[in-house]
Amino acid sequence: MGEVETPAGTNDDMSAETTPEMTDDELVAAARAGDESAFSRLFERHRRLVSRLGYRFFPRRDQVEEIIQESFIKAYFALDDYHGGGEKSFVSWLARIAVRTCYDELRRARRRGESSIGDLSEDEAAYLHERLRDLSASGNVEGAAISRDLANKLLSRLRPDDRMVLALLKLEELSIAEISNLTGWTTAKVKMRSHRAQRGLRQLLRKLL
Amino acid sequence: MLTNGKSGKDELNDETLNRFSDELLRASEAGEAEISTAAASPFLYRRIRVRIEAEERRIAQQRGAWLSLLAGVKHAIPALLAFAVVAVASLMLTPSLSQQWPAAGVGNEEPPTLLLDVLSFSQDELIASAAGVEAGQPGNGGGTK
Repeated sequence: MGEVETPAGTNDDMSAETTPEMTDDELVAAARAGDESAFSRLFERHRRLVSRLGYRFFPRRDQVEEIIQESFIKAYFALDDYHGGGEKSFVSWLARIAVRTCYDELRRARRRGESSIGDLSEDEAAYLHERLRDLSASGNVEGAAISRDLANKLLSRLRPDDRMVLALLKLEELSIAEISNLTGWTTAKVKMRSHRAQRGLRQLLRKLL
Repeated sequence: MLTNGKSGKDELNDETLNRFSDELLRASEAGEAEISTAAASPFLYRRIRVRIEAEERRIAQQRGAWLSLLAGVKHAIPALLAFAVVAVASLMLTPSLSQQWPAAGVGNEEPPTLLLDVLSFSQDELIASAAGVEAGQPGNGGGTK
């Protein structure tokens, strides 16, 4: 992990108290007992997962870094609530925190009125329109280069919960039950939001095309 | 590909739009390199630690404020207890005094206290007596002769 930042002042502690072979649950127990290096090990192991989830909903690096920070801070203060036991339980637990952090931030951004469809200039809308038409005509999905920024602007027009479900369903390829577990919503609610999100996106595209 | 029927056209449109939707979602995805770069951002962990410590300080200050309040309450407990004891004692003493008054008045036509004596004058007599004192005349219990 050459590119990985080593938290300052934790190297010596890490060699003394934690080892790379320790499981997540063991690291959580050590972190609870006040071992700072154990938490830094958890951060190193799982920060990429949180970064990936952050990029599902936010296009900018500073936004994703904020999501990573918020998620790990929440995780730190919620360590006592973590029960563990399963092989992937810490990953699931952390993913839940990260998804909820993303959802909260999406809602905040929407309240602030950031990145609405109104932000798309006529040129941008025309560009997106052409790109989508190209996709339709050629069917060459991989060759098409739709601007990520424009796509995000369009997607931000969706309600935060709809966008959340859509991204988890289509990009993370999670099942309804898994989304339900991540978000804390019932499966019926997830299904309903999934239908509503897809319908909403079709309406947006219909307007654009 | 297009059909003449309205429902067939809508269905096709929905199908196409669904495909566009999927493409749009994929277009919004970040690359692996970007994901790794954000995750390995310099000083990210340090920033998290700084914020955690700031939050811990804030929590400690809040707790400190509560503890100082509790300590104040703790110091006030003996004073409150003493006050309660005095209050209870005075309550216990008060009935015994009040019981003495009727006993002193039994078979005695004179009012038992000076206060009762004063209260036996009418309000007009008291005012007239006070006016007489101010004018330099000795009070005669309200009489004007």
